[in-house]
Amino acid sequence: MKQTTGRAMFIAGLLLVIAAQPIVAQSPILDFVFETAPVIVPAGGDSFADLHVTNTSVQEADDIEVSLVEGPVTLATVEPIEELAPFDDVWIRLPLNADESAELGVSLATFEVLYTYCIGDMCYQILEEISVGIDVAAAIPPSDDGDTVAPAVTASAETGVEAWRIALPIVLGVLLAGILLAGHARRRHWSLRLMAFVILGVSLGVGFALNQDQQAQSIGAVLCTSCVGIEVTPHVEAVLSADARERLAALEEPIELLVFSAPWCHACPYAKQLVAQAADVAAALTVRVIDVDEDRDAADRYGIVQSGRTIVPAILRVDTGEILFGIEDLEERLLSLLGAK
Amino acid sequence: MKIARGRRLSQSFGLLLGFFGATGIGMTHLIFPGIHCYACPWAVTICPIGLAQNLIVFGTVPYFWLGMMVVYGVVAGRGFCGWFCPFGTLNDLLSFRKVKIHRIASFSKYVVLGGTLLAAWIFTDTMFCKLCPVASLEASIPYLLMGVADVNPPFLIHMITLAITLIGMILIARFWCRYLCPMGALLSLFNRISLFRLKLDTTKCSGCAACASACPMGIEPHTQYDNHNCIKCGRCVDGCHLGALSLGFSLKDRS
Repeated sequence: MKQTTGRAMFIAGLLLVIAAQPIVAQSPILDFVFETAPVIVPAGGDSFADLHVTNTSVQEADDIEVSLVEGPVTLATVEPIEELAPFDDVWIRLPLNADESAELGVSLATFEVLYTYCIGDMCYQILEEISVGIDVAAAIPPSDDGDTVAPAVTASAETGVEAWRIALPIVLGVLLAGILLAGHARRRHWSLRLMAFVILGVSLGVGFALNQDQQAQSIGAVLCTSCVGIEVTPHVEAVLSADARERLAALEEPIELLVFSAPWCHACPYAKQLVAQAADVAAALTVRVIDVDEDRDAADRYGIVQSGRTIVPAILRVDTGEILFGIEDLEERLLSLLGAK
Repeated sequence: MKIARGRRLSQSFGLLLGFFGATGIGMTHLIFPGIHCYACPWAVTICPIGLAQNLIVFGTVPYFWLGMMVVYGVVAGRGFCGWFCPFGTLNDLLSFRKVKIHRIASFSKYVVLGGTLLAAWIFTDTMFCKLCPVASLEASIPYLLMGVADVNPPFLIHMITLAITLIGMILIARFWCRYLCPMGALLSLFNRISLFRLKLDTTKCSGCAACASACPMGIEPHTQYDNHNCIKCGRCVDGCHLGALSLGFSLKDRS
């Protein structure tokens, strides 16, 4: 195999990976459409907005929760949808109420939809905003069943993958491949370097705009003990032994534990499960889980940081300040931390 | 010998940057221009290979990473392996036997790079980090000493890969850089267009191959001066008595 052919094959593979990224990316998998828009809500009365949710992927979506961010109405509590199978769909009825003093006319209401999905061991939490027009009307009363009479116009939420997210990596990848192949074919190097400067300029510009430098920094600043092979990644459910349950049940002294974790840490669910089970058994035990990606200050404050690196999973006993890192022999270490004899 | 002195200085700077966290400074936004474990307790920079895997796991299109890789590639290509990378420096210190091996074997590092990225994608995990001898040396051992880690199966796997790599380095000069380093594979793609490069004056070269016997990477600089394996360490320049080879930054196309 010629040297150039080998490189071309390698670059083609690299390009394929880059181009395929938007497809496998941590991206929304649900599609939202309101049955009617705008939704008519009488001032001082109740109404509903029916939201059609479609799962467009091969992954199951879990714990779909809808909440109101802002708008001329209030939203009553909506039961979360526990799971939505791949390519399945569901209707969510959003009970809305407009205050008597609400300004009449059409204005926009923004809702937040929070859900999770998992690919293998890796779970993603997606937060999307969807908007719909709300027409606060004085004259139109709700119909008998509470539904509203509204024009049959549907509003689609902006949840698709934008074209530039696919086009840009492909363009950059093609440019890069051009530089590398032509470089090896000994073409004029000044023009290739110019192309390289275009790539690095665009890449860094977009990277900084998307805060990828901060993402990189936060990846580097947190040590997940199983990620770099300091511990085994647990693939089993954490189960407290009968002996441990007995010893924990005998605990009388109130103790507070903080569990530090990160959403992408593979060992963290094991630690969280084990501590949650311990809290179920021991009435004196209270547990709080802290996401270090969101609350780095807490990790700093409680000494979860070693040599500038936040280590997860970590379990802190608040009153003594003792810390357990990782999940190796966790049950035994947890019992010892809690003084369960 | 001027080049050798300059290189030692630059390598010392690489070590200093690599372990600057010992001063108490935390993780910065900088990607290291070599392979250097970000899990190292004293690292202030991000490992490019560890980051690439994480970005694949996260499903992020890696613009920032790509931009930085092109910067490093265009500036010096594999020059960072010879002048900056701390693990490269360790390779250097153990370079006793300059072995020449068939060039096809050196393509194995591209397989390592491709495999690393592919494994991250398939297993949605940083699989390479669990085997990486750099992590063995810079993370596993320090964390064991700090009491965060234990002697467990992942630790032993790390020790095995470290032992194999160290033995390889002793038997074959720059073993890791030649055959296994995924970062070296990445930078080598830019080797021929990088600004920092080896130049050959063919009018002075007699073809004596003194440069080849000085080369730790087992290449023949007088015929392959822009080889993808060239780490631009300059030993060939010092080894050439006719002054046919030179090393430096240049915007011009090669002669």
